[in-house]
Amino acid sequence: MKEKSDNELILIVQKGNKLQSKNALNILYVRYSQVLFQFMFFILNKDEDKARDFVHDIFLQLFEKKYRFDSSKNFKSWLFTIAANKSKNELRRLSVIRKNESNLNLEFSKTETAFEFDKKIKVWNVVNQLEEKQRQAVILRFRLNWTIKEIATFQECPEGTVKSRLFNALKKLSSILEKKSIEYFN
Amino acid sequence: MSNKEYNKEIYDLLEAKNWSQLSVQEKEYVKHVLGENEYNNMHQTLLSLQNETNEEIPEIGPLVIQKKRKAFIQQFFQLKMPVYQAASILLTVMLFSYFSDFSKQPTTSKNNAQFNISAEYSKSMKEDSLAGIFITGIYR
Repeated sequence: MKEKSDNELILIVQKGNKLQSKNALNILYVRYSQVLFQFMFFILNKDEDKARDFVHDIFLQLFEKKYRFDSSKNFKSWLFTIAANKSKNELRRLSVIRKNESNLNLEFSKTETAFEFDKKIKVWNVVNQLEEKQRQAVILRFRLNWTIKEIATFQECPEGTVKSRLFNALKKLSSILEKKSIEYFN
Repeated sequence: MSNKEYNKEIYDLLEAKNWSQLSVQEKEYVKHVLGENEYNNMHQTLLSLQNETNEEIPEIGPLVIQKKRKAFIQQFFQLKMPVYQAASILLTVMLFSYFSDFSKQPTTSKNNAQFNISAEYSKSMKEDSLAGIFITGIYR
């Protein structure tokens, strides 16, 4: 069963008997759980427990046949779409918290050492300030090494739009980092 | 050309080349849209995104057994719901008949106050223990 494609395996999960379904799900879990976890980890502001819970829930719900797979689609994109949709409510909640806290985590105190500042200013620590689609594109491109084409399939948009999103994300990130370092060193 | 078109083309350059690697023509083009300084900053950010990936990402580990068990229990009750419901109905009927017997107890005599109190007491004791059994049954 290990040689089967993702699409074949998910069809077994959804249509096979319990044992076949379980085996197929295990293989898909080995193939995708860690990358999906990485994606959720960064999407959910590095909340390890929440990311783990989300990924486990997704796989359990696949087993319970809660989601119907359209065999004309690409499994990887479909799986990440489920994850992105699932995280939406959580992101909404987080954005409310973030507004309330007014980005406290990026305020630098003058007592911090340059080393501490350097650690805080790492680019991956400010990725959470990007808007949702830009953040997804950045994580998929630079963390999971997806191609522009794969991201376009996942986000259901032309490749040009993905490039434009990445461009705007880079512009925003570099301006945040620059602003923060000017604030700190002045 | 629209902004989006510019962005697309410059993104391709950002991924491929730093400022010094751009041709004269490309430099002119980038200067027209962004400027050298901003291009350098964005290229640096892109490199950081590519290189700062050595941060340890925790392992997800296997599917948590507790969750599996939870899912199994949920599934079990979904499948067995008719049986479960029937058992609940039966239990309700039994309880109802049990309490109906109590309501038939001879009381009401004004002279028999002590008997009334003890009957009420024994009734409440039985209700308590029955409720205990009922609750235990549900939680099992």
